[in-house]
Amino acid sequence: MNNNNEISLLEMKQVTKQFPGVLALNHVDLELKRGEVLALLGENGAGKSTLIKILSGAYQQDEGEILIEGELQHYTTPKEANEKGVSIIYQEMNYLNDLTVAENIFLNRYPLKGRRIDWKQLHRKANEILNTLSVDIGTNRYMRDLSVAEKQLVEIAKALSQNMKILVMDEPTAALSEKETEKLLGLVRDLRDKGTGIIFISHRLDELFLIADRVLVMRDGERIDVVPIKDANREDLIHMMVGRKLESFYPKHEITFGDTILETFSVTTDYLKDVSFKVRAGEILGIFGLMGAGRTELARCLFGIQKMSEGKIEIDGKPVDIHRPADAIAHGIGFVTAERKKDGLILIQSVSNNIMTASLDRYSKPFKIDRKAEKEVSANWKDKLNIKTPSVNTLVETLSGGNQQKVVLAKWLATHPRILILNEPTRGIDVGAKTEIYRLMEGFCEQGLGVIMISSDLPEVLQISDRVIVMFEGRLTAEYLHADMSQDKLMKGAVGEN
Amino acid sequence: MKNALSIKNPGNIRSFKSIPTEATVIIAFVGMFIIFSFIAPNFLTLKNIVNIFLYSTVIGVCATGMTLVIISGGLDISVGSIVALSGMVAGLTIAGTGSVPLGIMLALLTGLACGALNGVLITRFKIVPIIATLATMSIFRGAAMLTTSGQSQLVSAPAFKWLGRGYFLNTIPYCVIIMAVMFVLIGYILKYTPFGRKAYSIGGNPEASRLAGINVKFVRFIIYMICGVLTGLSGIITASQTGTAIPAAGTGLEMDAIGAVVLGGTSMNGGKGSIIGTLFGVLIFAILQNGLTLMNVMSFWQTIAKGVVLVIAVMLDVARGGGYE
Repeated sequence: MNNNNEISLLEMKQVTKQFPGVLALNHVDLELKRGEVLALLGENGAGKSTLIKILSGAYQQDEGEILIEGELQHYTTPKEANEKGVSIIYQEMNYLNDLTVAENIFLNRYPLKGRRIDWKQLHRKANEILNTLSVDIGTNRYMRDLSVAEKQLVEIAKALSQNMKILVMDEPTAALSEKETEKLLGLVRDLRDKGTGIIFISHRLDELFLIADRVLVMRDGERIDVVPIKDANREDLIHMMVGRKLESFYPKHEITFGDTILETFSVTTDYLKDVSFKVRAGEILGIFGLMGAGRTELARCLFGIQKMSEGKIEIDGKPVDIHRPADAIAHGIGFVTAERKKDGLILIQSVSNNIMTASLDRYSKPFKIDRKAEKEVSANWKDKLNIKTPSVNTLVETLSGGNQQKVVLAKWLATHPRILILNEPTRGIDVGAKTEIYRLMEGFCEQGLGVIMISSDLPEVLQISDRVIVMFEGRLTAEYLHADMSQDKLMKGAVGEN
Repeated sequence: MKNALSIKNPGNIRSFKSIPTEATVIIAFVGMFIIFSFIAPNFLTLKNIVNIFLYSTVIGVCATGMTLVIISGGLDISVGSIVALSGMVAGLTIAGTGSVPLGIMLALLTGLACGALNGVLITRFKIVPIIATLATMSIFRGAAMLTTSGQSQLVSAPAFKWLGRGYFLNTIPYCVIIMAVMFVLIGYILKYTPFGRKAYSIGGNPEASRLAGINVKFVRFIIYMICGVLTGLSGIITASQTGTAIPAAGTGLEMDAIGAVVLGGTSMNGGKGSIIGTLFGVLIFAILQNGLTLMNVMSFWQTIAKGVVLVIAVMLDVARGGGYE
């Protein structure tokens, strides 16, 4: 009864996905028409990625259904979804560096001549597709030699070669220059005009106003609203992204701040531009920003992992040279990294050994570890931080996420730091442990430590920080005191609207 | 009721996993020892047991260094060639100057220098350990051959003989005592010094160790030097035991040493392992070789048996978690 134009290209109805402890998607609806660009907007953790992964077949929804051109889909793998016309270009693209452009476009679908690959035809077909995109990339070039923008184009060409109906692009412009971005947006428009349905994820509001037809805003796993772009304004969009009610405000202690402990002047790297800020004793400085804002890079500069091309760091008003983590530790800096399993813990070792890793030399003679002191120190931190472990000899890998995080904290506290940098300190740990970690952070402040907390968890930043600086694409965009903060203000800074 | 059930099962699994790896090796050793005592003629005699230890010294001394290397997440397959090169240096120096201490000193220095080269290639030039030491394996072997154009060098100085063939109080060979001292020394370093702890940390998670302020490159460099020196000592013992410095000595030693370390439960991924395990790993290989020889089993079969034992040991280790994926 319908002709093709009236049936939606894609409908996702009441899609729900539960992960252990988190409701990642709560009855989300999404509709995409032929020849439309639908923008997906939301904070980190709003559920965009989960939704896309369900569309791509990488995850299965617990509830809800997916219809493509009115037909109910039951695919369970990315390959099957692909066959139905769904193509996804992830931020972390899945190309093979050591193969050529043509090989990447037709990976595992090479044209054959008998049992052998027909190389001539492979390159001819690859060229044809690249031509339809009016891009000029030699099909013989290796992927590793291409720029990020060119790699993206190859990914699009690959999608095009596979009967693409729906194209999802996850922050495609994040790593592109202005000119490349323009070109990409032009290409997206062309594809749209040819009838492809495009889902476009980006944090850059400017772009959305240039390219999108409608914007779907998500927050905390729910669809907040869908608005035609011509009826939307920036303030409203930001407000929809962050407009949650903050319940159960974590009560902040009043602490009087001391002198400035650490100050940076124009820290600059390939990515960071001119970042200057300071931390005072007893203060929790929040650094807010979305993924890729440069917050981790900044922390890595402070800790001597990343070299600065310009800028200097002062501690207690004196310039310091920090070239490696050991220097940073010697200057009283501790760094709780974002991925504790990757670079925070030695999982196959005991709680005690992990706590001592950064202060081994402090508690031992050159040729003898002082086991007694070691035991006292680790037992002391175990009690102080309330680490739930049968004993300090238990292997760290058997502890829960929250307790592992406390072990990392204990490791740094054992070095008697004056400045503690915490990168996403409560990521992946449960609510109870979160509150405990906040309380601990306040405890550090009372003892005169300066705390730098990097976080993309907006409620956390609002509740815990005494002051917050906001980053966007490598630079500072805003700074607020605790009393002046609001979700809207911070998010505005985080999407570069200041 | 429900609780009791749900706890019981993981408990059973854990009970297997919670046996320390060292215990498995020791049990295996004792088992093999008892079996050979019954089936191999003349196995259970004092002389034969001393022989077993005597046979294990070359591999054993080298394996102590290898344990340190593997625990720190590295590998050194150049040890066989270091044995040859340091043995040649010892032999030629003693034959040329007549000074045994000088010969021993220079041979140890040779081992140290070889280890330093490995360390530089791996830490400074960032070459993967297996490739770096594959290259130096060839270089050191070539250098050993060059010293005498491939000829063996007789070392007849009596003062040199005692090291490999002398007996303390006519019962314990000196080289077995040397091996014991090295095991105690490396065991102490691993267990009681900050350096040893750092070796475990680096093997367990190099990035986390670096961020904790540990100078990962320096520790690794020193570890390859220690392994080099100990292997040099192995080379001296080899030359002394045979009374000859042979440029082809130590061929295949790397496999025996790595095998003994792995047999002893040290993880090839680094971060886990112990010197006690290595000791029994070495002894298992030694009694296997000794027992089968006494039973007149062809040496080709012995080589196969060694491989089978290694596979079984590693399979046990995989069963307790980890493994290659």
